[in-house]
Amino acid sequence: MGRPCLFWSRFVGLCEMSDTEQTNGEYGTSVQVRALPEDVQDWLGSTLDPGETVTALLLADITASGDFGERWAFLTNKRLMVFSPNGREGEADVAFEMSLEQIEDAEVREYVGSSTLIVSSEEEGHEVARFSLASHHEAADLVHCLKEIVRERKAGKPIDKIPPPPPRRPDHRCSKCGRALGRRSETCSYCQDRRKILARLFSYLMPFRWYALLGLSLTLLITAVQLVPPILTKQLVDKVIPNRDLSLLGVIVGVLVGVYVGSAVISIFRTYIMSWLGNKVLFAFRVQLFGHLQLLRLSYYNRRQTGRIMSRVTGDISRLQYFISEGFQQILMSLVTMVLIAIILLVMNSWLFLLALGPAPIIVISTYVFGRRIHTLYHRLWRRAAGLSAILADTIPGIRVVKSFAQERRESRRFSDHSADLFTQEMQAVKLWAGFFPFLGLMTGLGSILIFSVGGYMVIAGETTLGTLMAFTAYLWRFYTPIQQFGRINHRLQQCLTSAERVFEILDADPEPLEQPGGKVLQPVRGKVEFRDVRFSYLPGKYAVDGISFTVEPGEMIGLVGPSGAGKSTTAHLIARFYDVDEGQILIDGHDIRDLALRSYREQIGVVLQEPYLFHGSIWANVAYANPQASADEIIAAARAANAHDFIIAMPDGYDTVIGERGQTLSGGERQRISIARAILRDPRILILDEATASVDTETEVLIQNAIERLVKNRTTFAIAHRLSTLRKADRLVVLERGKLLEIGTHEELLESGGLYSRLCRLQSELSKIRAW
Amino acid sequence: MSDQTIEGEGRNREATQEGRTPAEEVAQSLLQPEQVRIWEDPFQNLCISVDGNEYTGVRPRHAFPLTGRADYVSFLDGKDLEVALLAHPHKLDKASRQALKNALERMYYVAKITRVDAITEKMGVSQWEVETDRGYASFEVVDRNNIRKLPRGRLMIQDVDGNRFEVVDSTELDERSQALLFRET
Repeated sequence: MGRPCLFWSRFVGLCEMSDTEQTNGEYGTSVQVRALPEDVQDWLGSTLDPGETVTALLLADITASGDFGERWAFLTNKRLMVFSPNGREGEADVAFEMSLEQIEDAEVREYVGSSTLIVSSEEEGHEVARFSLASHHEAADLVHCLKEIVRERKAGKPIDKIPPPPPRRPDHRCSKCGRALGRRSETCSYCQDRRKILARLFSYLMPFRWYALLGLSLTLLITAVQLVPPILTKQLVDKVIPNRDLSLLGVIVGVLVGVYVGSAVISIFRTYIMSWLGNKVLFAFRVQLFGHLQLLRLSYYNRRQTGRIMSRVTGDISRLQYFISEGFQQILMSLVTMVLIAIILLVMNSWLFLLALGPAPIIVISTYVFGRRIHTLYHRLWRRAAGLSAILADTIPGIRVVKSFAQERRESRRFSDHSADLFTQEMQAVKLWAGFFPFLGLMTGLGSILIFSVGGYMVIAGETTLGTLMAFTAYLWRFYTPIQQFGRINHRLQQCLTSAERVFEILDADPEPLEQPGGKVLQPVRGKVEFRDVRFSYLPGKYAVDGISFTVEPGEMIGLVGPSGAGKSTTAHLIARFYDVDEGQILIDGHDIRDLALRSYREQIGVVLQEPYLFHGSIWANVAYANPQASADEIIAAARAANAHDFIIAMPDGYDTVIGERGQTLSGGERQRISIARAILRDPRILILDEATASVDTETEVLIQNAIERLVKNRTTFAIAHRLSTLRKADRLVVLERGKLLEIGTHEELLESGGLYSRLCRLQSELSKIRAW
Repeated sequence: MSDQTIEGEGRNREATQEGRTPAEEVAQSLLQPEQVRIWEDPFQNLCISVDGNEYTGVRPRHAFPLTGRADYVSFLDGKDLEVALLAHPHKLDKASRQALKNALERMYYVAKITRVDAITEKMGVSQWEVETDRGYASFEVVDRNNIRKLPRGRLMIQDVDGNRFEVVDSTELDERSQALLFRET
């Protein structure tokens, strides 16, 4: 049996399943049942007891023996069971079954290229299912449910109603059809409704519709005008020259001059209007997109690479601009030209026209095939070229390493090997296109030879005139060019729609409720912070913060301590409401953080990060970032308090020094002190220091320490630090490990209790002895 | 002449107090099959005993999974710290060997492609239809960086979910398969 590559909506339906109100029939919801293959439904239907409902499911695509196959694990409100097809049509065995009461633990073991689900009772563990990484999210959800069940049971609660976690869809797959998404794409090219996107795209043209219409009419006009000269040639040959009609010659020359001057003038206007239109639309698009990016939730950015987002604001948008101002017009122009010429030729001489159509299919098909072939080769070529620049990007910055290990010759050889490969590939592409264009020329040439020979015969036989023949051939050349373009139109339209889809995906993402109506405005925030059984997870099954409760009084300084991955930063981010909690509550001055007006709340929070981020601009602008109206005195006061004033004033440009490319010369400690000044100027009620002193030397740390001491006065402060010395001024310490609250208390209390904190302290004091020595 | 003297001194300086080089240290620390026993407990955890010290829930890792430069297997505990580095695992006693073999098969699940039926690309995602030693498979590859070319026609392919497929030697495949692979590499 093959490895099932399932395009069934494996992600559909699980979300609705927990909703018992929607439950109909014996099991699950109708949505979920539709999502499952029919035979699996049958197995399920015949096995489930009355009243038994499915909470989570897992498609295991590897059999116990390691071959690809298909097994289905279902977690119901009574048991965990696995179906395995037994080879007979439409039949399956229950390969494993365990009632919820027996389950003690569950885990997903991750291996290279596969995972297994292990479920343990008190006596033994069972390998319930093996599966490829495609089922990873399902398995994580299932384990999450199982763990919840065990937890609830141990707490003495009934276990027949365990809600599944909110479904997290793998972001590399389409949420609707489950197909993989492209490399830089978050939208599925199968699921997009092309007409809708196109309509939406053109809605951006609506404000400028009169200009668009004008541009369009000019385009049509210019196309029509350009078709005039051959008709005049026909008149010239058939009427003027045989009749020696000088007056008509004058008229024709006059009209020709008019046509050329006219089309030049129209062309100028057309180009100007279309470019104006394209840029105008681009401008509107770009501004809207950037504005929206500023409002998006942090979780949006966590799941995506910065480069991808940036390429949308630049690359995708300029592709759209090209399409709106040029591409669309070109397609239209080609179409109109083709139809008009076809009509003219048909009227002139329908027999000759049919002959002329002969090479057309060959041209269209060969252009299409060539396009695909050359695309493959160019891709190969492009990969080789990228490999070559990778070597460059590797060795040039690493030249000191190359030289110090005396490996110059090897690097040269590596480069020349790759270059040789590139050359071979290049020549293959050359072979293809070197042959193609002459072939195309030959085809069109053959077309005109055909016309010349048959047409020539017709002229001699007196069936048509010489002028008609000449006009005919002139039109023919213009007829073949747009035909060639047809081989590529679909591809280009596709590209444009993909770009549009990507841009719309950002515009459709939910923004933060910065200005939500009805939010409570606390002015000022007093700074009492209370965590009530808060749980939060970035990924299902793994809580970054797992049931934390504590209360902080206004003005207290709290140190958050624990090994990396303990949930310190997550806790701090939750206080700033960068994320919303999954379960539990965070109360600020007794109000749920989600009921507060977000903007006014954030305005009263200050964050100092480990890697201070300074914007391009002067030191002045960076310190005054939160309050551009700050007076010189305020800024200097903030800089003094941050121990930054002295080094700033010593620079030739003082506070006007530009931090940019050259700003890299500021040391880490200096940058940090500027960011502290920025926080001081803001005068926040709640302050978060996230490893503010982690990346500086001891001497600078003392300077920063002093600055921080001034900063924390009269505000609720949460400080995260690996170096416990940083936290010696903290009123209380919160010790976290794996998302759980381990200890809370003053330095002395925790030392006495002999827990994790005292152990960490001991370790660090030993370390610092070494450093001192 | 002077170059050689300096190099010679460097080597000496590397030597530790017992007069061994770091490489010799590693060779010394390598466990020999006689010292080791491996089994699986009832909770499906891999266990290893090294000179009588037992570790539960270890995970085996090949040191050189792709090139096989040396036949070393490392055992990591739950915090990814090495508890043992074993040389010549094929010389273990029979039961241990079997337990290790099973565990390694779990750890490295790589289907070997024996025939390529189709590779179709649409919007930057290529859909592969292949016959493998584990059965017929259909998978999606995004980004050709996930197709790793190794010496002697060997290819390692990672699909969009992170599953792995291997072509042991692409020159050994039938012509059609080779032609299909050509476009992708």
